[in-house]
Amino acid sequence: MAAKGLRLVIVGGGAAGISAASTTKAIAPETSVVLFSEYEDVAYSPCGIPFVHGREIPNFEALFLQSRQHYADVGIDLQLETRVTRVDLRERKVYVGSRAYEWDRLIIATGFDYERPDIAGSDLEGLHYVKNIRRAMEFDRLLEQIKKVVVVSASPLGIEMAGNLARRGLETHLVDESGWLMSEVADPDIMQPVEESLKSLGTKIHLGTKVLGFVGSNGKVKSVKTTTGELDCDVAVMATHKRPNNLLAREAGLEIGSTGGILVDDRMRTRVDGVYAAGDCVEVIHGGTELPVQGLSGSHAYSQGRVAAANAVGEQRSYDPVFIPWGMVGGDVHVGGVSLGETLHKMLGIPHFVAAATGISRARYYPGVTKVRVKLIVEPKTLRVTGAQMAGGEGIKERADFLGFALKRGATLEDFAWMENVYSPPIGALMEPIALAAQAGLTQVKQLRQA
Amino acid sequence: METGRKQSFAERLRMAAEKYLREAAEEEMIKRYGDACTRPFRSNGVVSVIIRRLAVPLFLRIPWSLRRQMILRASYPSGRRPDWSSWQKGLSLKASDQSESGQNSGAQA
Ligand SMILES: Cc1cc2nc3c(=O)[nH]c(=O)nc-3n(C[C@H](O)[C@H](O)[C@H](O)COP(=O)(O)OP(=O)(O)OC[C@H]3O[C@@H](n4cnc5c(N)ncnc54)[C@H](O)[C@@H]3O)c2cc1C
Repeated sequence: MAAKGLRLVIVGGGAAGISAASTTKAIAPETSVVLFSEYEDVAYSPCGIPFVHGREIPNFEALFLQSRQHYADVGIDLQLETRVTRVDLRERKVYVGSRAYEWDRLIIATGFDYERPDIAGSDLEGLHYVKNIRRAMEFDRLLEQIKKVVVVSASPLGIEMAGNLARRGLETHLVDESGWLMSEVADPDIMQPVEESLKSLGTKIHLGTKVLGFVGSNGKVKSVKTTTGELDCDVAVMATHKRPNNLLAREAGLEIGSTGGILVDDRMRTRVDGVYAAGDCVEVIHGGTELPVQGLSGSHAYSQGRVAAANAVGEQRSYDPVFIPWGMVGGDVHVGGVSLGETLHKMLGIPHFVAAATGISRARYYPGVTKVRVKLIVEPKTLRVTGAQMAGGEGIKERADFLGFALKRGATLEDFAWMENVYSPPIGALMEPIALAAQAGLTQVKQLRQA
Repeated sequence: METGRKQSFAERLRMAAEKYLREAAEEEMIKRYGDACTRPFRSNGVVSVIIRRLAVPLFLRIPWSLRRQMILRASYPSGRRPDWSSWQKGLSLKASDQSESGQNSGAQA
């Protein structure tokens, strides 16, 4: 248990930082907690921002989960719009300019930054990075006055923004160098329905297209120069790669891993006694390959913040290696998966084969039924499933969560082929699509063995 | 210990390896799922071409178990990997503490 009068300083007010602060107060209320954030607000859901722009959610206020007063009431000292400029690990102080704050335990939760391309015009006004909710509110007002948007990078955020802006009626272009949407994590066959859905909403998709620079007039962006031509725009949404914001940690002398994330163990401890780190600024271990990975999701950041806080105040908790269930809606299509997809298996050269099938989400006669495509990636010797990807109209998130859990327990093709499942016409079909994919995989194996 | 702002060699190596290995994987995926793909943009500098034609195929010939060890070694140049073994020892203690459950911490996810 925490010593009385323990002083905890948290740098970062995102999912990791705020969950660390709340967990500390829940476990060890006597701990003094000071939380610093560069932003004006904490406790809002940035994940909802694209959907407010798309008018799926009526206003930004709906994204706030707690008031500042709540944190004051539970005894968390929020230092907002306050940038920590230096961490001194020997003196055990953080600095805001020349002002020092002492700590007994420190949690670094400085999150991520978007990659800023080093190309002409990247300092022009009108290049918008979606993160801070206040900037998003201003951007939303600007959207009222403009017509054309270019979204740079078909990342998960790029796809959400492109779909929502097109839905709002803006002329929307989505530009990406690679050969399919979200190629860094997803497979082309899985993303094809998303591409079609975005197109049906009016998004113009430019794949295989590199952004060369931004062209401005009076300091404002007016077009985006690409390898396949120039695209006129009033604003550019920069949905570029997420990078760990490790500046403070690196300058303090904390060890940084090959992913750029701060090195932590499974208690979220750095190598310096009393110093913890959590969220998008750290690297964690991938459960399937045991390789370090970085830049996961808000739900990972949230759990890591809780684990860091529990350990900081004297409990013993560990954070398991990750299998990364993920899911999202692109256009009107749900996609998701777990662990590595087929592309990433090929990228690492991991032996595998693919078992796939298309099933349905409800009874075939039930209104609203949609197709569900499931693709399992399988280790040939043991038939252990090492990854999965899915696309459909509903039920993808739940399948991704289930598969994440099952893969962590080492489930095989046999396990899934003979799994029990819910059958209820409005919510589930007799044949579970995951089981169908596994059965198809077993048939393949049998044929191969016979041959 | 890592200091300063600059990226370490391990970081630069991983970024470059990811880029070229991903490109190679994309080429294979294009062969398999051509209808769902567009020709990706590729930079064509001399170094890129050499890495694509020589380094990547050689690297992918190494058996996965050995390759995995190589990646792990390159990931921790100091040789000191943080301890992540609790879950294998069955020691990982899940966040099941009642004092936390039901508490709306207002996280941002
Ligand atoms: C638009 C958008 C959509 C998203 N959609 C999803 C989604 O659908 N699903 C999902 O799971 N996740 C989503 N996320 C979450 C995201 O991908 C991250 O995983 C998550 O934000 C990581 O949380 P974090 O606390 O580690 O860091 P961040 O959210 O990056 O927070 C970092 C915090 O550190 C502060 N900070 C940094 N440096 C300093 C300093 N020197 N001094 C003081 N404060 C500092 C910042 O002010 C900020 O409060 C979304 C995020 C955004 C922005």
